[in-house]
Amino acid sequence: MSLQESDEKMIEVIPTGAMLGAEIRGVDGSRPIPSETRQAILDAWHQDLVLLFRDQQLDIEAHLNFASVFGDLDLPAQGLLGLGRERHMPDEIPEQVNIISNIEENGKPIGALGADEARWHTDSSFVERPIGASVLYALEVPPQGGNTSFLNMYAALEDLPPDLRRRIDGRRALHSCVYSSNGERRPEFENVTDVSKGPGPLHPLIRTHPATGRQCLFLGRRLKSYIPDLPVEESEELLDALWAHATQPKYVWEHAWRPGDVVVWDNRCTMHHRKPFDPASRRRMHKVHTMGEIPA
Amino acid sequence: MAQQNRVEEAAFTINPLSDVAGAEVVGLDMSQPFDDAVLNAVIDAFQDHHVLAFRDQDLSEDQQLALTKRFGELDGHVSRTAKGKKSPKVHLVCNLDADGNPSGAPATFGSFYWHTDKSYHDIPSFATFLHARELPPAGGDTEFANMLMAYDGLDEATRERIAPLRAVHSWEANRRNSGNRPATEEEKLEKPPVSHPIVRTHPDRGRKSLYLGIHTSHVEGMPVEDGERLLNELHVHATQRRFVYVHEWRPGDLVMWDNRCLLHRVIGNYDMNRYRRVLHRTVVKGVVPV
Repeated sequence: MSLQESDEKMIEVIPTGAMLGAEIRGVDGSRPIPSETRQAILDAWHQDLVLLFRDQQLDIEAHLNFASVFGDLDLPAQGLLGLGRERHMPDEIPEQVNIISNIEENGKPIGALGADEARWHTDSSFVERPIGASVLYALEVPPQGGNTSFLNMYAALEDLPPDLRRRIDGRRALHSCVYSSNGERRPEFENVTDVSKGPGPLHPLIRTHPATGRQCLFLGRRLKSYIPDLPVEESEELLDALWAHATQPKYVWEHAWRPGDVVVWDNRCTMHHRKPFDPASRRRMHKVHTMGEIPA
Repeated sequence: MAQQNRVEEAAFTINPLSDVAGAEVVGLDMSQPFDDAVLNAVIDAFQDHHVLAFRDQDLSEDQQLALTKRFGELDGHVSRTAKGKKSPKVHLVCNLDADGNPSGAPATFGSFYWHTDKSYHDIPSFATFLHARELPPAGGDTEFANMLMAYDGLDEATRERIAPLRAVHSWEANRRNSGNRPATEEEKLEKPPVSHPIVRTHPDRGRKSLYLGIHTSHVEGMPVEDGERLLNELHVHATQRRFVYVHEWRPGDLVMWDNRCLLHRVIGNYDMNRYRRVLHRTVVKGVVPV
């Protein structure tokens, strides 16, 4: 163990040049991470919000271990909602791992989310205590399409026009749990007709990141969102304005996947989006979540 | 294999429900007093199967209290009802909001996570009784993970490594880990953290089991981060599907389970905003884990 530690090189942090994102070199996620290296990774993560580790080889156990660098493990969306395991998950995969894939075996999808667009969202904001990190590992990627883009929500708040900022100060928004990010309704929930009455927790629109102490915009997902105490029309208009502002290309970094990529993003201060891809091609990712905090 | 029991007039059958845990008890009316011979037969089956489902029962709260007392001392409850009142001895487990309507936003999320009842007490629970009073048409299952099997499934090196370790359990960690509002100061004072061995020995059969769950925060005498990591690893191991029995509730079920060697959780696999799920819960105090 001590040999390993002294052999460990300092990590290399290569920012993407966009408003967020950095590639980290010099880390083998399948090996134990010494505590100084861990701290260096966390520092880079808090600075750049999304980290890319290329050419990793992680079996399930190594993936879980690597994810725990970023916090205690948490469950996939289905489990966070108390709905048990994802229906597609094979028994031998632990429940902390979710498979994101369009691949079908024996006529059944082996993973979630298909090949469609996944709209801008932050993971699991539809529960009282949303997750911290998403640790997504690419095993198979399509020849084109399926890129994942990320938004810097600190920057989105810093640039927010003062009138908009005044209108959301101290306000909270409803994060609906009824639909997943590809717009599909979860069968356990009924369709929401009145957005002011839909199920889901309320979170502050301006959130303070517990590790950096910086404030950022926290929007979650647009579908069936609602700002309490406002007439529905006014809430819709205000949300549209916030979303139009936050999703401007200047806040974006887009990642084109290679097999072996591990991307770790911070759901507290970023949103992400996936482009659709050819359903006939194969894409298979493994995803692990870490625990976050009740937004404040 | 079904087992026939003839104790005086009480004739009942015990049928195993899975290889992991669980057996149904058919033909025994638990609302009525029963003698020690029946009690001993039930306890024997309980030692073998860890989860017993008494079918076709209809117990009033008083009858459930009387039944529970046959197995030991009643335990109180720290949690509060949806209206903020201290829970009575018969604790209502339900998806109803403060107005009594079904709701997808329950008062507590803790039961959605793997846990063992009251492990944040010095003397945690021995057994929990849960009696179905109103059920959704399907779903709302309860899952049980067998911690004896989980321990047996560990490699020798891990067993040696964890043999001397104690995990810290607290009501506060439960609230934090399960995404609930933080514990109040009053609740923290009422229930300060306690520690229990990670490997506990079953007081009745002497077998070893893992003792984990959502109430744990870290490991005594170990850097917090390392302890969290170890508990994470053990938790992932212990909740594999091969150690899990899923109980699908039937109307009239009265389920009794052994908190000393199981983790359990409820699954919200039904429309919680539409259907009522109401169960009566009573808990028997156990012994200090060793």
